[in-house]
Amino acid sequence: MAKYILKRLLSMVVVFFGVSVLIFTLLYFTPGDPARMILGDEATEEQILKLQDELGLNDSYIEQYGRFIGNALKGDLGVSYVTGRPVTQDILSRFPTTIKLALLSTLVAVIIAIPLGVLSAIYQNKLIDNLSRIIGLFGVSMPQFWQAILLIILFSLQLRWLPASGSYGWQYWILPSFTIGIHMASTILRITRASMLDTLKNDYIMTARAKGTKEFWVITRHALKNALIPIVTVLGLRFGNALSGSVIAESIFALPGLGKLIVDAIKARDYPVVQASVFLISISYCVINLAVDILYTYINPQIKEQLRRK
Amino acid sequence: MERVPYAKGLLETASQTEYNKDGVIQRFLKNRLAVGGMIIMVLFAVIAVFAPQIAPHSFEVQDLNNVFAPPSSQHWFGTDNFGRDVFSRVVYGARISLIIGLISVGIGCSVGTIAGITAAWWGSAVDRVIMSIVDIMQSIPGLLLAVSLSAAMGPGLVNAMIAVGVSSIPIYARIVRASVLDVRGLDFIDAAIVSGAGPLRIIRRHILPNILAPIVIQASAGMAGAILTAASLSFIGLGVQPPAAEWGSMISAGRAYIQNAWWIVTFPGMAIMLTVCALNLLGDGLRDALDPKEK
Repeated sequence: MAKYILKRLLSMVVVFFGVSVLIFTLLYFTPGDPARMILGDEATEEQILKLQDELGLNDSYIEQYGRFIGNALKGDLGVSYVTGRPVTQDILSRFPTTIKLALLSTLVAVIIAIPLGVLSAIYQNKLIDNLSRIIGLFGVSMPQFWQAILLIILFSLQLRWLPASGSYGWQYWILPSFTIGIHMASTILRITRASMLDTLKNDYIMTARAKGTKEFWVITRHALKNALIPIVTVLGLRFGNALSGSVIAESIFALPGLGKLIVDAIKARDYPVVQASVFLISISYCVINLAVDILYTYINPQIKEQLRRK
Repeated sequence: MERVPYAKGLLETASQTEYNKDGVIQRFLKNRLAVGGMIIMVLFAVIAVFAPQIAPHSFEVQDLNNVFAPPSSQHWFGTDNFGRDVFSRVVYGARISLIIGLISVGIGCSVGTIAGITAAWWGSAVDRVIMSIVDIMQSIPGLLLAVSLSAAMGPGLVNAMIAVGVSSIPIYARIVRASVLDVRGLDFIDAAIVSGAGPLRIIRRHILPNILAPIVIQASAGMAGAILTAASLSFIGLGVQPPAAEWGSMISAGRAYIQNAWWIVTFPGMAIMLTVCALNLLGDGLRDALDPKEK
């Protein structure tokens, strides 16, 4: 077990290294002279040359990458072209908002998808099953930004129930979490239904019923508990989508998280901010997936056994 | 090396046994949802090709005397903030979305297939290098990879297609690699090797036909994803730029006017949803028809 975790940790270090190369390379080949961008239009040629030298922009690719990774390990992800401030501080202060939004969206997705998926499996091919499949299909097919706008039209402009933008209290989180959550729910719904259908076919379900266990307990204690394993895996993978969904949801609902920061930075051509934010999100995505994998081996005794035998 | 007749006979029969090709069309046609999806896609393709004939107005001519006109018999989907006919713009938008979908899937699918086959066929170090790159690309969540690629390349239709295409390479590479590894161990491949066929011939004649099904399934679902991602890029200002009639950028531009002109954002969104829905149904139908045991 410990060996497996160690192996996964090592491969994660390799992936981090690769992601840093990829992201640095993208920034390196982005057109435009950073020195000129930081100093603005009024800078003299002399000032620009001086800053180019200070930033080491005339060094080779390898040297520049070496400095980038060296600084990144010290927690320094560069300087914003627009504000001239260190990027790290800005993105770290916005990170909690994005994580909170991703967690709330996952919660919304779970609350919608698991009960609906379970009902869908119990009443296979009945009305509720068809209904939930239609919901699932629409959920994956609607562009998130469009769905967000429709939610605003309905709940903010027509019904005036919920605020459309900003973050001044809990009610500001509802529409953004549903925007991402509905999309996530569609995939989880599908997995829940399939996994429950599989589980319900097992002999131990029949045994439980034959022993006179109430149907509610058969479904929850016997079936759902076992059906949860693939659901948890997909939840982990989908969490990454929730993080990238923040790009759309945060910028529409004006939530001050990393997603909005990325979109604003793209508009201002502030590439160090874009790359550093993408880097941070990718790292958290990897860490979460690793955590899910490790959790998975704990919930699933079969995998634990396999690893033990190895 | 001289050909071994037995192996040759085996080749001809065996390469057809892997996927159950008989009755694919019948199985597909029985699936009403999938057929519905296909009909919608054919319809969209017709609209895209004949856009100039179908659109009642130009997609770019402004009529500032007639801005924010609600849907009417004159303007079925109303007009936007420049007085442009929303219906005509949605019709022309079908062109851009379908082209983006086809080309970015083409990029992802071809590069991914080559990478997947190379990794699986040559194995060991080649496999490790290719799969590490795939792992690295996949550790940046899908939309974000497309966002950072197109931020680096700059806005525009071509760059958006490349960004969406490149960010979908990993999924094709993974699927193809797994399928090739499955097929590779089968007898008819050994037979082909024994009969002296070179690797390229084996890949073209025996491997590719047998891994086509998973590629086709992924491509149709992938096109849905590509259209969604490209529309999202335009929405945040990275993809196709105004005044081009692109569904995502139409929604982005109409956002400011949702208070009193709901039609500007509603119809392009419905067009995206319908296309993506149809492609998803088509993909599901293809999966059920091509791979009945997966059901």
